[in-house]
Amino acid sequence: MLGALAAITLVAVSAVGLRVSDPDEKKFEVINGVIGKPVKVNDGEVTVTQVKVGTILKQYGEIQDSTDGMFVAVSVTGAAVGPKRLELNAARLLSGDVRYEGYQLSAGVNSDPGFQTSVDGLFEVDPAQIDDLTLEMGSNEILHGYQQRVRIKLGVTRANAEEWRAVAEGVIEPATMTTRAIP
Amino acid sequence: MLWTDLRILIVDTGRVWWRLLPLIMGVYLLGWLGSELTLRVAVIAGDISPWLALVLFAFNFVCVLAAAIVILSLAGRELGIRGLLPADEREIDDRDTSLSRLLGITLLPFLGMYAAFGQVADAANRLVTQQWIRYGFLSDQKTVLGALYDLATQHLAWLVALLVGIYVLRRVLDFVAERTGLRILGLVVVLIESFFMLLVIVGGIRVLQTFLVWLSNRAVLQWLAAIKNALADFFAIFKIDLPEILTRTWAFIADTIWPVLVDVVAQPMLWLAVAALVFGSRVLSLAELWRKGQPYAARIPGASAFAHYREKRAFRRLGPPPKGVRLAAARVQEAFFGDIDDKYLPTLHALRLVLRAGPLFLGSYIFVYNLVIIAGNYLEILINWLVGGHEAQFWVRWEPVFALAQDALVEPVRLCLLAVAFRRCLELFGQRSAASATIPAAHPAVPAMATAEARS
Repeated sequence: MLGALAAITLVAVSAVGLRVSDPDEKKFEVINGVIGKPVKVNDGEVTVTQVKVGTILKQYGEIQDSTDGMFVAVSVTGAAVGPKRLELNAARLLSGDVRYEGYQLSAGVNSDPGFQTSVDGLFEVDPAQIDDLTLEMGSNEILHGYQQRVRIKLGVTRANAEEWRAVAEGVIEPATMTTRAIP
Repeated sequence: MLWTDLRILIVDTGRVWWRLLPLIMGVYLLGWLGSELTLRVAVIAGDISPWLALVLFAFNFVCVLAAAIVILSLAGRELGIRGLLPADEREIDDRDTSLSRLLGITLLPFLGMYAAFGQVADAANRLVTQQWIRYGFLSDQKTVLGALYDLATQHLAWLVALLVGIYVLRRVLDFVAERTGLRILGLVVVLIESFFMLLVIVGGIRVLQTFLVWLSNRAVLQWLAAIKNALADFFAIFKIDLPEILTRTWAFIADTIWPVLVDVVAQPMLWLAVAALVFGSRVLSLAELWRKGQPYAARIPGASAFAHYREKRAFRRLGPPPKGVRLAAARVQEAFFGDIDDKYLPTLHALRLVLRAGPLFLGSYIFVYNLVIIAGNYLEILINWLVGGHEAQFWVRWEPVFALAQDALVEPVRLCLLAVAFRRCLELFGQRSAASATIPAAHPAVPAMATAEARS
């Protein structure tokens, strides 16, 4: 009886050890950054310059949509400062365990070497769950490996979340994508 | 006792690994080199035909498995395992002196385990990935995946005929190999089996998907959904959310229970059972048992040296093989069961042997086995941390090197542990045999023959 109990305990410890050490749970390198400062990722640089919020979406001079939640537009510039093309085509917002995928397809940035692309990535979020809102960007590749993902905190904290919710009433107009040579 | 088992498993594994390090590392590297070469050649051969790529890729498994079997054999010899096997449990053949004989006997059960734990599917994915890289995702060049997709979706009858044809060819060659004793045929059989498994795994998934799409449009599924809704409404009367309970139960089984059973318990146990085959533990075939006129479950108990005296006597009381129609029927059964015999029955029988080692030893072994896997996981995390995050092109080029750095350290240790664990099993059996041999001597009610049997 004691032997069986000891065996079950050892199996349980093994199961926990396997689960905790599973490399698939740590499948990417996180590079942290803050708003306004360039972050190096994949031989390029990413900078978040501005965060805008609203409930009514205006694009191309027309009202396109509205939400009971909150639209968040994150202005991102991706510069391919290295010899290779910068491809950060997967973007999402994180708030704790909550993930918000891009509202439109063009939430990520891609740039050829020597150029920088600026885009307003648009997301629809639940205003009640925006604490520590963070932009996460990486490449959306079919073949996997240990890749880099950049995470930039957008300045929305538990303390100031109410202020963000208050200013969200109104129209939000994301800028269209622009590409130009790196100065 | 727990500490004794843990200490023996950890310390002896370390000792054997260290003593044989140059030798087993050399063998492992040769196997890896052969495996990588066959992968590259298969990818290049895909330019000519995806089928040729698949045929050549079958060699990949022979390289990997042959290296594992040779390492196990070396560790077993270092530990003197053959000498510890009881005389009537030991298989008398030339597996100790002939590598081709050893591979011929053990490759199929090893391949069976590789397929059962998804390693054949992983290897097939590597081939498909390499072809994608070579041709691009949008290329017109036909890949292995594309060829099998066409076959499974547009010419299903051809795929089934091909599978049946390959299966029959393997069985015929197997039969010829047994009759003639030609060892090279044993290796050819393994190659055909590898090709068969690749075909089933890569092509079979397409057939399954086609079937599921067909099934989703059947009325029977709507009926089942209606029954489910009716049941949910009925339970809702008692304020029981049946769909929620079923979803949670299924999630608990699929995410918690099943991984623990398969990864934590079944893998170590089955690998130990497979390792027993390399060391020459006796294996009976399912067809042989069936032919002797008794169901498998009833017959197997007397077959081992560790069986009870009563079971052994029943085992020896069996009559001669059947004749005439019964013999013909038995031959058909043999052909049918032959495939299970070749791949899985040896392992299952060896597993039965291993399970008798007792819960304490098995718990210790499972724990140490998983320690090795956990060490491998952390090694991968460490390599990732040292190398840092990179784009997919980087990993396509360098992943084999980093995987080698990880596997070359972990895999030989795992194989040495299997050898040490099997030796410990035999020691425990030996201790028990000695103990049970002394009991009848002090107990006059037990017949004298029982004492003799127990000693054997």
